[in-house]
Amino acid sequence: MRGAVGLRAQPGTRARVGAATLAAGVLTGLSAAGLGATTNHVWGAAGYVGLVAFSLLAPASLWAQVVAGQIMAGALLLGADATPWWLVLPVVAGVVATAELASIAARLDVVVPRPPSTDLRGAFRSVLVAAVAFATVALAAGLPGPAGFLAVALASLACAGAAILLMGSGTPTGEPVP
Amino acid sequence: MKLRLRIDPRLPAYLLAGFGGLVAAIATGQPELAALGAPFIALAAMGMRASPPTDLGGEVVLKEARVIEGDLVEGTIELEWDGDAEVDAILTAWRGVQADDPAPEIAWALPNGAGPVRLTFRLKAESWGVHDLGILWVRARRRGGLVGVEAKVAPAPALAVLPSALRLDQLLKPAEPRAVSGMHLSSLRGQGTDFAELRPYRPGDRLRDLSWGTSARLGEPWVTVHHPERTGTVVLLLDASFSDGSAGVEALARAARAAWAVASAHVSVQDRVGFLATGRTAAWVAPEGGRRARWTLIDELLSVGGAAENETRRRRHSKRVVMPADALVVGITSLRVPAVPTELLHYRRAGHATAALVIDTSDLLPAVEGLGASAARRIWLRQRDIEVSRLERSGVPTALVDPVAGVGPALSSLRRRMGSTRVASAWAH
Repeated sequence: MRGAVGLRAQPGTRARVGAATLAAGVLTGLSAAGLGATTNHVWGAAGYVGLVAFSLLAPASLWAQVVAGQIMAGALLLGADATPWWLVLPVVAGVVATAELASIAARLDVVVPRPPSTDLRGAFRSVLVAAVAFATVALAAGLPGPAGFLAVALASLACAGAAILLMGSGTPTGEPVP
Repeated sequence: MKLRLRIDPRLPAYLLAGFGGLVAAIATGQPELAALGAPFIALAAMGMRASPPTDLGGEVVLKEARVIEGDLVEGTIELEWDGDAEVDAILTAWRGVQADDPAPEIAWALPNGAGPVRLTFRLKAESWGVHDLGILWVRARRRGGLVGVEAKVAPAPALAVLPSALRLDQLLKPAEPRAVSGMHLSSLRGQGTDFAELRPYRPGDRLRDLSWGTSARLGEPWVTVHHPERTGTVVLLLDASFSDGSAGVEALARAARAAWAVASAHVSVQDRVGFLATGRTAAWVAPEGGRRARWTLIDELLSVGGAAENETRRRRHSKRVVMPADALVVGITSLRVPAVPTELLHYRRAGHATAALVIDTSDLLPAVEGLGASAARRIWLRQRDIEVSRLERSGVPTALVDPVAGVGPALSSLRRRMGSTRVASAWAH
């Protein structure tokens, strides 16, 4: 049986991650407001940033932040002055990054917070997966008619499958501590 | 062992956003909305792919089951789980001890890896008593997974913390020693080493007891008579009433240390020692001697200490208290409540030899601020003096146990005073 030593996060880590979360949320909101350039988009972005701040206090409300971000991005994609999807991609990536950082901050608020380096790498991977999935399905959605819907469905399934395969590609085992 | 799922808050968020986007795309006929839902579905699928460990197990082992106050005690935790996982382990709800390593919590966040693993920890025994060291909780999650599990894996063993040992130079004298050999002087005459008296020879006296010098002077045989060495019976009456808070617990701890010091010293010289605790928790141990008595007394004393730390350990004993006629009843009390003095007076009136060790807890009173608090303090001290006077007038000698000097000087004082009482009683015979 191997001996083990616990990991400890440095003091102040949660505060730093929380600040990074808020910064990511503000950046995402500003991007969306800038792309929309209307009063509604600005208010929507402000509401989104408020929900990001609230989710740091109440992690269970993370879903509200994600849904608000999705609606904010959706408002850019639809309508007469629809924004091209490649410009909305950073907003979607920002929403995912903010959600990931908020969850890392929440996991640091425990009795023994573990260093978030592994979680930050996972967050980066999640943002990449989200960006690729969005881009793939957005491209497929560009196809006209029923083929467009079929392509969207296939692309969504493919993205989900790729993500599952990516997750199942094995995780490195922690090095035993003598 | 019941496993409880811990869902990461991202999972419901991603599922809601993902399927919401797809439903909106279908409902509105806008395929762009599917592009908004797809990333979140992919992330949710990725997070749920990693199913959490289901086979958690563990054990908590202490190196020692009994320690003295202030000692460090080491322990190990052995954990196992299936596959690679990020595991958090925490020992919760421990009492009477302080975490030394790791500190301030006995908890570990283990790096991603496979079990089994062994974790070591160290605790400092802070207060005497039998203490529960809590329960081992384990939380586990696969790396990148959005679903984890947590479970109470194993209870920690109880730790018995003995009061810090006090050295006693003198013992109290029991009223009427028993017929088993010990170190107290009996009022009887018999074989022993301490001189009792000289008297004329009577048929049946041993030749070795003849006092040749006296016989030569007086012209007839005289013998030397000695006190036989016999055991005594001591019953400690511990005042287990205490106020909530650290001061109350410390007051009880001082009383228990004094009780333990007196009990262990008397047991070591083959006296029979009994124990009666009365107050917020109760205990009764009939007087007995020998090694068994020592451990019985330790266990009961520790149970009183454990009750001070843990309300669920407080109890009422249903056993009938039968006080031996020859018992010396020693009350150990801070005189915070009148129950123990009243009980001492009851035993005194019943004909038992009694004494009282009054534990000085005046230094545990909160700092005096204002006229009201100062008056309350003076009244409390005066009431204590009145209670002491009441005991003294009723024939119960008392002595104050100073927290710094310890119980030794108090016992010496009692011994001197009780010795004169015993002599007067012997003259009456």
